[in-house]
Amino acid sequence: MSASDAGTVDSPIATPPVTRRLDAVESVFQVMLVTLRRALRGKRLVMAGALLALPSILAWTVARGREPAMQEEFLYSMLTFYQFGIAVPGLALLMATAFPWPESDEGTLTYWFTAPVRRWTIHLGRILASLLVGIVLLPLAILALALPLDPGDGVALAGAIRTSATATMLAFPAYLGFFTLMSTWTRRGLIAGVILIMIENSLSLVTGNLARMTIVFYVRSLLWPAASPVGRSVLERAARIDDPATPSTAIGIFLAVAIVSIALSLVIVELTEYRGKHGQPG
Amino acid sequence: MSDAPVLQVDQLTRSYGAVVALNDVSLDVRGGVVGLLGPNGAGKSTLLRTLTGELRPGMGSVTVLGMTPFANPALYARIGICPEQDALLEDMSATEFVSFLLRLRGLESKDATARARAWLDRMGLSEAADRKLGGYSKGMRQRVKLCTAFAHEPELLFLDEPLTGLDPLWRHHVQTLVRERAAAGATILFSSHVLHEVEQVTREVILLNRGRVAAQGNSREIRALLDRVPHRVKVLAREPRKMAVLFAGWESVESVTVHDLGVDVTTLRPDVFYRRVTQACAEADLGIEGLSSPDDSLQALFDTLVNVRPDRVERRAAS
Repeated sequence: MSASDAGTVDSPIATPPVTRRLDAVESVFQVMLVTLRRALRGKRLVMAGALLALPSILAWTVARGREPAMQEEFLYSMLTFYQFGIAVPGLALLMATAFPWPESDEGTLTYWFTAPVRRWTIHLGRILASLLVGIVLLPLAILALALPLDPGDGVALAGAIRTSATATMLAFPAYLGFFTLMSTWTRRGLIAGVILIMIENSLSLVTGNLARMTIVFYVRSLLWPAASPVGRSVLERAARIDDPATPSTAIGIFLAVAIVSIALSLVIVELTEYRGKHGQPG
Repeated sequence: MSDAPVLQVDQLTRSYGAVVALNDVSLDVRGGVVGLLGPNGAGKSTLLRTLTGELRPGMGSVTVLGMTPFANPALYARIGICPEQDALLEDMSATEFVSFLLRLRGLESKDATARARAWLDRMGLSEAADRKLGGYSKGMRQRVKLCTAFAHEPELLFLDEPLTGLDPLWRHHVQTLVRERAAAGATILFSSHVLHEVEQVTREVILLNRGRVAAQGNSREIRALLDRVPHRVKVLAREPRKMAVLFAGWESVESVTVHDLGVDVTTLRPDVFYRRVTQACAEADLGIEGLSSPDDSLQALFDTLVNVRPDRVERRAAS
């Protein structure tokens, strides 16, 4: 069929479409679904996969087959520094900074923001999709890290893995919310985020109140109760967790950061004019 | 046509840093098809993006269907947009993309998919409908953009350079589609830097130049001025030399230059030339992959108008 002979009686376009305004929940759900589908194809997923696969590769190639105590120390070191310090915030950063500025620069934001739904519902749908992806991928990455290792005490290992998975799932929304807030506000969110992750990791190694200003301090604190003596030694000696926060404080911090950041980002996205790089005179 | 303006712009000024993209623009549109004409950089896209609520008006006011457009879903439910920028969600298929946008307009899943497929079919994309948009040619992408604008049958359409990248036959089809929608009661703002493209769908034009309205009214007067300025057409073709020989025999063609990807034609009768190309394409496969026109003829016209006061031009254009 061509433009000149379309619109015959049996064609779906022979009659006007039955449109209606979606409510907020429907809109969020639709955007979440399509974002999830797209998340499984994009280049950011490849980057995320590489970020999460690295500790597992190291576990297979470097630590496997060594002394059990060394394997245990390797596991806790990777959890404390790589998983909590780099992988969790890194994944959150990758997912949070994909929208809205990059799409504004590419020109695709037009389609999202001229759809007859509130901007904040689009933004929230995308955040929820990112949240789901992170919450599924991060525990899998921990499992992939631990699988090649045999540190001897299997029961203690299982407890540490469970606690680490829970800690990352709780911390991920806080990081995602924070970076989302940043990426709705500035188009340089990705670069700013990388710098912030580096600063956070540095600050977390300072004993005292400065470390308590970082999210990673609370993630490491959550691991403390389930950690084996070797694990506590890593946390204490290398990560300077000598006075860990209580689980309820850590969870409270995560929730507060996530809720406040996401709420603010929803307000900002409603008010901001995303001009994009193609927004030149013309 | 009703008395209430569909679009009303009052003393709109919009800057990008030190560059003034729109300067004290006032206009109103009451219905039908209106051509928004101006060379590249004239402010057409900025005006359209302000009217569609992507940009805020810097100074002045803008109302569309009686509403302020910025971030206004109630307005978006009633309009369709074909943006200028060649950007689509590359990792989606055309069917997924168009049907998703229809889902956001409240269509049920089955209806959205059926309508998306029907429109893609109408735009000659049925075979490619399930392929990723990232692999589409420029012309195909343009047709997908047009699907997203037309598929929900809005009462107001903003088409920013809608014929860009289309071959002569598809240009003709899209012009037909615009006339059909207008006949069905839709108001259409059709932006272009080529006068004859606009003239195929309307005589009602707004001329923008350097961010100002240079004239508003009937295009005949502008046409008379433009006919004294040579018009260049770039034709992308698989066999440029064969194409050049063909064009050289046409009366409407002043000169032909061959290059690797096609030919550049100069004509004083672009309307006749385009009509002839379209006819020739319909009769045989000439291997034409696209037509485009640099805006130098229109720019030359604006250069002659630049010292003329807008109100005088408006009177001349309307006469």
